[in-house]
Amino acid sequence: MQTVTSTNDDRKALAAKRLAELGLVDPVDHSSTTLAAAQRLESLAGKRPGLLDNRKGNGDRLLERIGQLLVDRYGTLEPYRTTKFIYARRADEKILEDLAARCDFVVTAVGD
Amino acid sequence: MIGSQTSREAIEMIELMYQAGWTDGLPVVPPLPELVDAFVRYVDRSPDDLVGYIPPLGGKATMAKVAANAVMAGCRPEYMPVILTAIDAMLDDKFNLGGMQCSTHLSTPLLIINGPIRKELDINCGANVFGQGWRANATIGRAVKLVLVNIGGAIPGVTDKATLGHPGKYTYCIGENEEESPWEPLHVERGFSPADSTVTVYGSEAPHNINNQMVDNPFDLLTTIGSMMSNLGSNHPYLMGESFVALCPEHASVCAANRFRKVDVQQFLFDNARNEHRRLKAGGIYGADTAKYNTWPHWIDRQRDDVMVPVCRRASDISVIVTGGPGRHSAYLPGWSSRSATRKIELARSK
Repeated sequence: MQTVTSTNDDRKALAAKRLAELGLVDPVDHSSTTLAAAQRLESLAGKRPGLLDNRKGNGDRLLERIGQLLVDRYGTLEPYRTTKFIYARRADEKILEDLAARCDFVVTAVGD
Repeated sequence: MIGSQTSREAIEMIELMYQAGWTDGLPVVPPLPELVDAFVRYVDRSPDDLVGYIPPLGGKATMAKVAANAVMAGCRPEYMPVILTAIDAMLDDKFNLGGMQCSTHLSTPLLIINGPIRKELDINCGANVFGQGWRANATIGRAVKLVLVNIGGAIPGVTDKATLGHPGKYTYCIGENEEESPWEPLHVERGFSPADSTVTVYGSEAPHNINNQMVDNPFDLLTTIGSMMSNLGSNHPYLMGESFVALCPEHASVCAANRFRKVDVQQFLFDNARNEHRRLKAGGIYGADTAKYNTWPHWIDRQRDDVMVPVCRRASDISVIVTGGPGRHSAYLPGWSSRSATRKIELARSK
């Protein structure tokens, strides 16, 4: 799977390079695809998990189980739980700030 | 000339644009710099001018990037003001573009054009209005969709998680048939002048056809439409929100001939497009536990199984437009967790 993806990416890049040589205007914004993921934690032990429920059916059940597994298997602290107003919209800034202040990492889930 | 170096180069470009991931699956016009420049000049702007940051990935839409996508879609330069206005409307926070583009739901922005620009650009408002055959409808709608993918980063199956999608994700742009409507058009209802041209964006499922060919009174007609609106499969019986009804001119005239104003149509549909509470427990979004996470208005009695639950919170959440040609088919356009947004087209014209 990794190989397939990288072959496709290489092919795309080659095609884009050739199109640039032909003088076409690139219609793609590349800045958005270079967003980096946050630094990964080395260990979960003793860390505070946040559980962000998006209020969609079953998401709460899935998160509850994940929270339990984090404590039992990885030795995390008791999870901090919070809820979005509705799953269809991004979380309010205040919710994100609250999570950032209280937690070391956050899990959110869709339980469809 | 056929077989010339130039035509071979054009074919090579078309193939390369597929490989580069620039297309929607159909061939695109090569965005040659002179074409892109002409599109940017038409709106009196500079190539690096910022149009906005497009969700879901926040891609930077410069004038040149938008123009390149418009060229690829097959647009003419004079379509640029409509495209830029549509992008501006989609960036209205209430439209919730980021959510719409990532959802498993299949909704996608529909552009509804009002005002004199429909005639100036030959935007179809009549027969086969949701279908193919008109350059302006097809390419304006397509340009917007290419922007969402190429600049916004809504990549199907990667960031765009739609389970099914629908054909409107290639292009989805109609005009209101103001000339054959018995009522004021959508943009006038929303506070604009009849002489203004506007774009309304609405996150929409594909049109659901409503066939009632024999009807001669609004009560039977709107009962048919209300039945379509209360189908359990759409989001509205559960989440409510805004939806659109596209009446064909003949259906609209049946209503108007019986003294139904647009607000009467909205009121009748609000009162009649309902489901018994117990029926909603069959599934949809809440499942049997309809009380959990429920966002219905407080005046709906959740304790009673026989209470009739509407598909929206108020009659004005049902937007009514008149569009299409002869015949007696209207359409319901179910939506998603989004509110439509209307903007006046006021960008600079060619000198």
